[in-house]
Amino acid sequence: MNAMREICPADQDYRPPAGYFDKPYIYVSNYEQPVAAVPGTDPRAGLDFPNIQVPLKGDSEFILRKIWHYCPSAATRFLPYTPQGNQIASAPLAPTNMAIAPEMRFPPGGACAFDVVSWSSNDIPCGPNGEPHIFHTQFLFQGVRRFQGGAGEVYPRDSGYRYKEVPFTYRYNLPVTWPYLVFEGGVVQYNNLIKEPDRTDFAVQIQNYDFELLWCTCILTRSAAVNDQVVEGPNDNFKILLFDPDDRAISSDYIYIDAINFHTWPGNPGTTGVGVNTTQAGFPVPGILYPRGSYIRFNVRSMLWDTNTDGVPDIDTPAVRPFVLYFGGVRRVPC
Amino acid sequence: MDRTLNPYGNDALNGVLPGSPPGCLDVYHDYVFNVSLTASQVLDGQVRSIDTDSDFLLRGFVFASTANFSVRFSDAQGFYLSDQKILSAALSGDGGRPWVFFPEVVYPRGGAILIDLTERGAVPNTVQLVFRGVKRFTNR
Repeated sequence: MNAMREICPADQDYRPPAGYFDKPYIYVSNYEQPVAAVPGTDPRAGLDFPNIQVPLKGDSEFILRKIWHYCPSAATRFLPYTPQGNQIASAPLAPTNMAIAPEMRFPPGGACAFDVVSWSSNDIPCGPNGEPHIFHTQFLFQGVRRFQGGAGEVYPRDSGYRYKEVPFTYRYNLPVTWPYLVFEGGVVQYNNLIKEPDRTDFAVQIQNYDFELLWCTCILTRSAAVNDQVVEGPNDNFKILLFDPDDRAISSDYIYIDAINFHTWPGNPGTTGVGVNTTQAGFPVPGILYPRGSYIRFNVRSMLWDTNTDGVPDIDTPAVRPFVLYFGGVRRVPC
Repeated sequence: MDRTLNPYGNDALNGVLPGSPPGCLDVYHDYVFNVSLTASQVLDGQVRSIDTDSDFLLRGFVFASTANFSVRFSDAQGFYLSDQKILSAALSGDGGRPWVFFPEVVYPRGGAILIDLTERGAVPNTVQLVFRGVKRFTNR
């Protein structure tokens, strides 16, 4: 028997067991550490951290299908564990995103555990001299939470009417006007190392028809002289916390926008600007149904830094980062 | 309609079941081979041994390296899976899209993957090869 053939073809959906339904979810191990000019280094740098655990919610199983490790140094190694506590690999792995196939089933209230060897993190050099720093990294565990449901309960939800599916995209202009550190009177307050509060309650209203969200993309728009570019990587952009129509977050913490940015897919057509990215983002899977009149709600955490190193303690030129978010999927048009 | 598939997500994200044969349990596993090569070094006949607790079904391959290299592997009988070494640029360093072995290659418990390597960057090269697949545990 060749298990490659167990992969569901496009006309045969994966289905949870009878009596259960799956919701997309990302469990996050998040690290953000502001550090002053002295000592100026990440206190974890180069150290080993065995058995870091991301606790799982007690109301549902977690089906793990993908792991990301955002790390700037190839010398850092990462070793996740199976639900039974066995090593996933014979030795720690170089930083990567990895598809987990076949999927792994973690029990309710369990934990996604992993080791880190020779820790390293990304760096936001905030000030005119590249100091202070915000050291940050994330470990993301993507999959679905499996709930016990009533007979016939499915996810994404049924609309309750006959419909045809029509592709549709919502656009949201998101000017990020604040940096990671507290920003007062046009000046970043470097000395206090206090994080600027996250901005909450951004929302896109779903109009006319039910909408099934299938992908998200983020673009940074520029002046006419510079190509717009796909937002990629953990630095110089923002983190997002996305909510379902029941106002439940679909990740356990803020995640880099890069992690759900569908158009960072290598070779994806229709993008201009720099680089490719290998996160292979695909979120949410399965899709999420937002009923007509509901909102795609999200919160934003700025991860902006001073890229022009011009000694001016502002966030960048331009001082506003004009991001554009696209929420794509299908409309359910009655027929 | 109760479509659960997200056509924008890849197969893994949409869910791949173990597909274990009766009496078996397949569990995701990576066998890792770390090596440091000197500039232009040819390093043939390396061995990545397979654990004795279960057979290993090789389905994918990814790598991380600090420079280019070329490589070839063998099956469990020692027969190579390519007639020459393959340039790393032709393989996949992207963990989300491994280089695929199809059909899968079975290594019995206690077996080995033979590995031939050549450093091609003319610089010291730290290489990690990751053999991705499943461990097949049996009840027998």
